[in-house]
Amino acid sequence: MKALYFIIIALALVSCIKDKPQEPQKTVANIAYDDKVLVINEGNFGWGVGYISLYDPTSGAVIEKYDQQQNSGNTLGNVCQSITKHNSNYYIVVNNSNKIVVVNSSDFVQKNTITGFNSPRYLLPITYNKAYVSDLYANSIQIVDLNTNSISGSIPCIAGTEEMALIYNKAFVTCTNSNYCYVINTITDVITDSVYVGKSASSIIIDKYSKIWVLSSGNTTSAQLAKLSRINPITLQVEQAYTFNSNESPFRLCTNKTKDTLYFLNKGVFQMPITSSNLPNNAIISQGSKNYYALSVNPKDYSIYVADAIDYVQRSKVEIYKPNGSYITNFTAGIITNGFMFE
Amino acid sequence: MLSNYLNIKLACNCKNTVFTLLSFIFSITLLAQKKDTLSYQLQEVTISSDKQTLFEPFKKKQAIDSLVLKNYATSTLSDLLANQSTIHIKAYGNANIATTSIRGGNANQTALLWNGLNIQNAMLGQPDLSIIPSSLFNQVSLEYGGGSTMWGSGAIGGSILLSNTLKFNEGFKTNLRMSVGSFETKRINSSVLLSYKKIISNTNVFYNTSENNYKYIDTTSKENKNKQTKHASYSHKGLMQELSFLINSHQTIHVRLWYNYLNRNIPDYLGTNQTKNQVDENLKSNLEWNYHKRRLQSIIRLGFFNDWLNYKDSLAQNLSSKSTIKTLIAENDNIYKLNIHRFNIGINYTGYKTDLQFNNLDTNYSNNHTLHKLALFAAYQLNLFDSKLQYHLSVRKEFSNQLAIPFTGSSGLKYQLIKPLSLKINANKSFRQPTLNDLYWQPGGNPNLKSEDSYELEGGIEFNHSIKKLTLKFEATYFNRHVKNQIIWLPSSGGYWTPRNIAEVYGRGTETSTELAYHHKDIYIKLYLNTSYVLSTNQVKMNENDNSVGRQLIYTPRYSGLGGISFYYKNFGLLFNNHYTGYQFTSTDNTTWINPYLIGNLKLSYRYAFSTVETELFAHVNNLYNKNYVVVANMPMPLRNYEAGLRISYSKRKKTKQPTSINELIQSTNKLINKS
Repeated sequence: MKALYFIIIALALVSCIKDKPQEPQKTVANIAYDDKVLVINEGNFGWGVGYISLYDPTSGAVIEKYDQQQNSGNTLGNVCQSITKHNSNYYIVVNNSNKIVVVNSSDFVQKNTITGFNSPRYLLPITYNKAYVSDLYANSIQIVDLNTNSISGSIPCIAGTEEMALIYNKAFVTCTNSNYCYVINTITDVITDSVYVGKSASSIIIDKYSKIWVLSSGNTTSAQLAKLSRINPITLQVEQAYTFNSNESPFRLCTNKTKDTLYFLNKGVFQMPITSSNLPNNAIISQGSKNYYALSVNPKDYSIYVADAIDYVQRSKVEIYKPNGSYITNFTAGIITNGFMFE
Repeated sequence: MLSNYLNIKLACNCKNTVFTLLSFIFSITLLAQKKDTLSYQLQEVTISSDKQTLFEPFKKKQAIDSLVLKNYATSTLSDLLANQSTIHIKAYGNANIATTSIRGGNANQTALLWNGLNIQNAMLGQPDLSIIPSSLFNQVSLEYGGGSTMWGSGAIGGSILLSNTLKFNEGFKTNLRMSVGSFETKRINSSVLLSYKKIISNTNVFYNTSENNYKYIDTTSKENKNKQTKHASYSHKGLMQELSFLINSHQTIHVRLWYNYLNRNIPDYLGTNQTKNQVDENLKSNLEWNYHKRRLQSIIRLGFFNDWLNYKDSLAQNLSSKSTIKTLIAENDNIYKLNIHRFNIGINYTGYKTDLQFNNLDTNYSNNHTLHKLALFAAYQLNLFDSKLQYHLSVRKEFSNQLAIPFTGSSGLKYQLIKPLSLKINANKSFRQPTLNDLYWQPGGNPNLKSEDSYELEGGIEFNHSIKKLTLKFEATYFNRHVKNQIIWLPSSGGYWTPRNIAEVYGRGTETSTELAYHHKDIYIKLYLNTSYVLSTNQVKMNENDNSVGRQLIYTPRYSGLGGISFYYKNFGLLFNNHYTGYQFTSTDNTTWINPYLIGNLKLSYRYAFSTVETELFAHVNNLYNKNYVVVANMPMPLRNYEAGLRISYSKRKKTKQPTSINELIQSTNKLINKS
């Protein structure tokens, strides 16, 4: 009986096997200022904190949470959507925290916060002191005064505005909720035109001939096909449109340094010369079981950076490929890597 | 099993002072009392339906102590179980949605039963315990592990059983309870019981309202740390009406009607734009005909439920989602006892009719679906050597017009080794059917989904001994479970998410519960300590870069425990409870996590009776140590908060002997001893 009591007491003593997880090791690396890649990690919507990782392509070193390291642990907020460089500042749009964080581009120290947004997505600098900010939920595009770091006005527009491009005093605005790309006169801040580009457009680039390219992802449930359109920014005519198959949902259109080649994700990385008359048939980097979510081309060496968000609930894997699609290396970034900025 | 268990436990390096202290108190008390002989045994809450007795002896179960249940009469089930059990309640902030994880299973792998009827939401498949008030039930119990042969779909991680039981010829009793609390919270509930020889009517109503504007510390912000929750107010009301009729000595009819309405604003802790609102409305009715003559007990249960859920987010593209689910359940359950044998056979029909209206700027659609299921089930129990050896076998097969549902079975053995010590073992196969959203959500729903299969083995020891006025109970369990075909939503080629049967989860762990109670005249003391250690890991690599294989599932704490003391002396009552939740990962590669938290609660009460009227003053201090914590990332929970109130009861008992107040409290726990 005594032994029994002993066993019971022993069992009642609650176990405390070391439960504390290990903090990931901090990388201390001297990364040359002119050779860095900023990696934007969204973080989980509602749960986590998005952050910026710093990658050095020469040494392969990664500094995780670079923004927090440079700001004594201060975090950016929930869902880091995009980063834009302007006036020696980085403007980091933090979508679910409804703000834009302004940091010094040389040392990443936070300088200011622009607030009052609804669900901001991208920032497009218009002049030295003026920028437009697209918004997922607001029925307007916000005009930001970069001098006072405040919202100075808004341009009424259907909600769901995404990436924008500026040329000839015209801002071209993609919108996921409509079939059109909107054109804003940047002097009067008024939408003057719209161009039919198909359903769910979110990425836009300007090529070497100053032509606008818009990629719309389509909507597979309502059988609206994805489309790639080339727009003449002067006449606002769609000069060429490429239609995808019904089960395809391409996204993340980007270009290289010489702006003569397009890249996008469509269950794999696709490459297409701007002069091509057809969509490419085969991916230069196939996706397999991976879940590619971000894509960029390093303007320095034309290398392709593609991020696998895996299950969206673990740290992403960034893979680097040569322009011909052959694998170079990879590194681990943060949760839901959605973009890169090359310095 | 035991040595395995000991290895884990003895390798421990105990850091937590409260647990150490409690364990220490246990050992001292035990040693001081070891020479005492058996004299008194305090009876516990027992089982409400005979069906459970066929099954439960072989598995780990926990009945919430009715003294505890009374002290949580102004709370919801989520608060009750978060503090008084080791199951994990995933609360998205105070009074917000709260789902469950039992034994490392997900929220869909918990079955919720009301008087034996599975009241699972067929569309969402996961119970939200924040909408259910504790005051409406006189029994709340938990069954750990697979129980599909008894309860059907969802009983993989465990089952939560709510029941209403009444006794005839008890007299008249009315009860009014009112309280005020922090965050402008006001709660009121009232009951009227009329219990005669042939008829009982029991009415319960409640109304709770709160601004829920609690302060919290925002750890992600450096400069502006002190914040206050906005747009979190709620109003919660409802009714439970029960009627029981004694037709003759072997027939009873029970009718129950339960209405529940909860309107709450959903706060957004990160941003400033708060526009989310959710209204849950439920109307559930239950008719039960119970026939009991000699060896045969036959029960017919009917259930008809209407569940409405209306969610709005005016900011997110004017999102509005209205769902209606109608559920019809008809069951016949028969138990036949023959000497040492017990046979159970039954049939169950369950039908769901759902209607979803989903609108936002981009999408407008409505979706109607019907699902019919027919279940056949049978169980057998054998009691040998004066019930020292019990054996159990049960099977269930369900048929559906839209789903393939696997055959499930359970088998168990319980053996009383020596008088206070029993060993038990159970093996079961259980399932969880896909929800109607899994099957038909637009876009992405996958009508080809199969049910999830779970294979579980558990074994445990149970020790139950009384020495004079002291009772010691101890139970330790080890379980090992594989879930195959687990449903997981993954991105698809169409740019949306779609569910697939590809996940595999391996869960295993140990649970202990220890209880030491002393009851003598006007004193009642109970010390308790429950622990749970659960490893629940992903077994399948879905992507070549996937770093989650072999790692703990997110929002599944490996460690949790609770310990405390219940103390009653004359008119005074004290409940001191501590609940610990260990690290929880928030990323599948286990690189981000939520810190552990130890939450203390103190509940004090003082009762005073004059003739047939009894009054009780009560005061609660929640989050006693003022811990700033989250259960879900970025969803802060309240700091220390208070509640104080008054209960007034008037009773006109049929019984001649008026029991003393403590005995009355204790006796109210001794309900419905198994008559067999």
